[in-house]
Amino acid sequence: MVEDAFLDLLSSLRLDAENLLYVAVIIVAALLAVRALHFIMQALASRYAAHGNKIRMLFPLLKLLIYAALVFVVVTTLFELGSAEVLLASGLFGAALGLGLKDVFADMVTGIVMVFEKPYHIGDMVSVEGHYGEVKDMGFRATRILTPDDDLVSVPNILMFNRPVASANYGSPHMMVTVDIYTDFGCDRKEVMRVLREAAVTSRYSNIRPGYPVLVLVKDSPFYVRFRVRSYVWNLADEFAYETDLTVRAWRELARMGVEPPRMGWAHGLEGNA
Amino acid sequence: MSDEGDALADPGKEALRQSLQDAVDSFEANRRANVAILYHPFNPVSVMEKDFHSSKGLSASRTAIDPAEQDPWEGLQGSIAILEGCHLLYRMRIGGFDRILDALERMREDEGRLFITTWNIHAWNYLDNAIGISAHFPMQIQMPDHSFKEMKERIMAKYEEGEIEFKDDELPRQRRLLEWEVKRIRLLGKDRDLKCPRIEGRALRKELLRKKVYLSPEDKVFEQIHHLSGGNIGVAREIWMRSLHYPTIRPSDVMDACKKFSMSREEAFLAAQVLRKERMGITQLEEEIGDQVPVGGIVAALRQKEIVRADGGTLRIRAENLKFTIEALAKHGMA
Repeated sequence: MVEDAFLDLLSSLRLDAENLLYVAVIIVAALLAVRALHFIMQALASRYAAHGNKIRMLFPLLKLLIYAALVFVVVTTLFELGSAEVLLASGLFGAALGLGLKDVFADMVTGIVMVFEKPYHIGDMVSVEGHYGEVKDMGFRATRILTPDDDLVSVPNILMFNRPVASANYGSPHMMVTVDIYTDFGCDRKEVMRVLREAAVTSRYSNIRPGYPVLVLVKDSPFYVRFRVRSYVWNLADEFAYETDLTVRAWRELARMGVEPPRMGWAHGLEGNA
Repeated sequence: MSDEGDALADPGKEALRQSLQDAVDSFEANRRANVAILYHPFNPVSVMEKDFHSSKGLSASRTAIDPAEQDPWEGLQGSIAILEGCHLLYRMRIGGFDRILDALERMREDEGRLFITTWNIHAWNYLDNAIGISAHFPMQIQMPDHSFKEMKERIMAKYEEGEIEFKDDELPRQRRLLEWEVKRIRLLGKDRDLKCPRIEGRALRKELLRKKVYLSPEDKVFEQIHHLSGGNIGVAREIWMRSLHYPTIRPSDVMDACKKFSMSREEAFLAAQVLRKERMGITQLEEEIGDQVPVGGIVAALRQKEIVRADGGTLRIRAENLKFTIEALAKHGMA
């Protein structure tokens, strides 16, 4: 019975030169269309920077539509499918899943779900499984993250779906950046807070607009004080440049005021004695 | 040519006088509300003692803020203090806010005196987000933009009838259906200037009847000037002067007088400082933001793009390109 159906499926295959050429042309055209779409989306996202992430998020959806159309065209061109052939194809597909394509299929399904659910966006700064960086692409099988060290990390979609993913900006080009500064315990906290706040509001990377506050938080520890600056950058690509700028300029001023970093040797000595 | 342009009644100034009078009357009734007057670059406002009247005979004194470290309180006398150019009280660096914070504190403590202050609106917006200055000024007055008609009247008041020859060099164009104009509206007990849409009835009617509205060359010229200046009379005068090939002016001359451009983040950062302070020396820029950007190179780039002009080491935003400068800065969140 199955053999008959399989033979029917094979007999419905229309492998003539014309069809093969047509399919090849369609596949090349679809790949070129995806490339062109990617280029256009990037250009539009750069031009309309304020809506850049929203524009980029359209790309996976449009890519999905192009590939779905491609599969449909290829199958209907190569096969003349009746209900028996469809049934058999489903059976073969199920067997393939069982034989080892389960993970790939799970990644693809998750990729499609994520396009609609949007747990994060292209352009977001995310952290997953110890990898932090900018989401550069959301493919069918994996999401690609560019780390600050310029490594492109491919994380399988099923992992992105099952593990907690922290998105620092969730679709906005403006992102909160947290900078920690540690000083000696004896510092004048109010003065250090003033310096850090002014370092943040005078930085060329800062986003100083309504709804984007600059906060300086203080936490005392036995041997040092931690000052945490929470403020926003205009462009999330400037996250690390901003962090560096704020730290360098703040410490220059703090050093001028006589504020010192924690005396680690002294603290370690006390810990050792304890 | 005559000098009647400045003698014309300025509706914005009239509204300002009324608001100042309200502030003085409230002060005399022991309800002090310090005033912040916000104006656009190239259209500064000057407050004189004659702009308000004290029924109790309170005296007023006037001081222009000096960007140098001079104490503005030295020259203050009387019960009403007018401080002009308060945006010059800060510097864009760590420690650069001491002077303005000290001034705000002294204004708060000096309860026996009404403070009337003037600010560049771009500096005000920045300072309000950075250090929250609006909390110190219960009365804020934003100087309104000029309407198309007011702008045309003020510019043309300098010329005799028929002195300027408007030449058309464009195909007939339709007037915009929707125009924006600033209206003073009383909201929650305060007069506020709001940009309201105004439908051009004549253009709409013609549009519905599918007939083209013919704009005279004169209207085309002033429509473009109004659009490019955003209703700022100082900018409009500059564009007019640059477009006018006396005694002739064409619509295309107006478009040629202005230039559109984009800016890098560093260029925008420097241009924003100049816009907020209106004029800045290169030395001052070096001192304030020299640790963040290479001032010399960026100034050269901004001059090449015709965003700033330098007069003897002092930089100013080019008035004719103010609109496009603000648009470019807005893309970096700096205006």
